This record gives sequence, C-alpha cells and structure tokens, in this order.
Amino acid sequence: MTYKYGTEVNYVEEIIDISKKDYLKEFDCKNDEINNHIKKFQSHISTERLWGIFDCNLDKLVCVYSLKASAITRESSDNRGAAYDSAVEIAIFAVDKNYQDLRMSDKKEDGCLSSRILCSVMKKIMVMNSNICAVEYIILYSTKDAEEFYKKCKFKSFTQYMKNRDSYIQYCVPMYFPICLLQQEE
Amino acid sequence: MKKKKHKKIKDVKNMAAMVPINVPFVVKKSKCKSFSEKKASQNDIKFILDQANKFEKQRKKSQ
Repeated sequence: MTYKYGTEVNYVEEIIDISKKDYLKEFDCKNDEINNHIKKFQSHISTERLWGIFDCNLDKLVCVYSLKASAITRESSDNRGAAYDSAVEIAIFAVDKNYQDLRMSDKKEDGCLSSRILCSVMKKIMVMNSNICAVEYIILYSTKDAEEFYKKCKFKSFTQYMKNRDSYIQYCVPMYFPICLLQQEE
Repeated sequence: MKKKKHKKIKDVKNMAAMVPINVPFVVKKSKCKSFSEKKASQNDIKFILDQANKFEKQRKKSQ
C-alpha cells in the first residue's frame, strides 16, 4: 500500500519505549548516521526521550524525534560574562523514506507530511513556553541536504552568528527559530 | 597535529546528521545586537500554528 497524500495516513504519537524497539529496526530515513543512532537507541538506559509518530494503517514508524534543553550563549561586550538565552534543541528529527516528500494535496501551499509534523513539534515547544517554562529559541543542527526543508518551516541559519566553530559546522548547519508567547486560544 | 585536526572533523561529520553533537550555539560579540533584534514574524508563527493545527486535526480524526 502506498499513499497518494499525507492526509490518508492515520497516526498516533507515542514515546518509544522498550516495547516499540522493533519499529526502530525497520526505520530508514536514508541517512546512515541517523539510522545507526536510532537503531542503537536503548530506551531503558538512555536519558534521551525518543518520540515516534506511528502509521496505524500499516503499523509502521513514520517519524522519530527527540528534544533536549539547551541555550544560546551571547558573549558580553563589557567582559561581565556571558548571557544565556533558553532554548529547546530538536536533537533528532527523522522521517522514514516512505513518508518523505509525501504531499498533503495537489495544492503547493498545503505542504508535505514532514513539514506538518515538524510544525506540530514546534507548536508543542511554543505551548510549553506559554504555559510551563520560558523558552526563547528552538535550535537544531541540520544536515546540508535538509537545510531548505527547515527554512521552509521558518528556521533561520545561525552560521553568521556562530563564534569560531568553522571546523565543527563544516558538515552541518546550525539553525534557530525565535519563539514568542501564544494567545490562549492557540 | 594536522592528523588530529582531521580526525576531529571526521568525527563531527559522522555526528552532524542531526545526531546530538553538543557544540554550543555561541553568538559572536560583534553580532550580539543584531541577533537579539531578530524576532519571529507573526506570519511565521501563523504558518507554523496553521500547519500544526491541521496535523492535530488529522490525528484526532485517526482516533
């Protein structure tokens, strides 16, 4: 069974615990490094929380993501030390190859399933910022290939601001999104 | 020394694919002001919420 549009997918979102480990074995996002990291994941000993979006029709794992607390450091110009802006890092965001580029309709503005999932993750963080704990930025490291995807979801490149990290960011792109308080009805 | 540097980059390349790499985001002194002034536009927020709400609606329909 293949889908024409992402709207045909029925899904649930759950934490990936030890009972769901087998789903990780079949997961393939076309990036060996991410695949290996995910396959090695052991929920019972890891401090990392992996979330999964599961396709209920085909009993497959559609997307894996994880979040972690982080910060953006701003160096002080008057030598009073640094300032820290709170951030949540999307540490992993990977979509299975069978669901990548799956459009939601014929209309371009409806986007694809991957971008809707990412936006729902971003909304989660914005809701947390509004209701639980202040967060000023969402940050992530993108692969070079995925940079355009994140830009479509309104992330901006952090490269121009990054201090002395040229060798570290040669193969990936640091990106950020500044967030704000949501209105109650959102 | 050169060899060591090469190894470092290779390691980062292996990790760079969104696997947590623990390189902190540090803003250069000279860019602090312009960075602080960058805010998300209301259009960006609206786009994200719109996409997210459509996805949540689909999830509720699935249940």
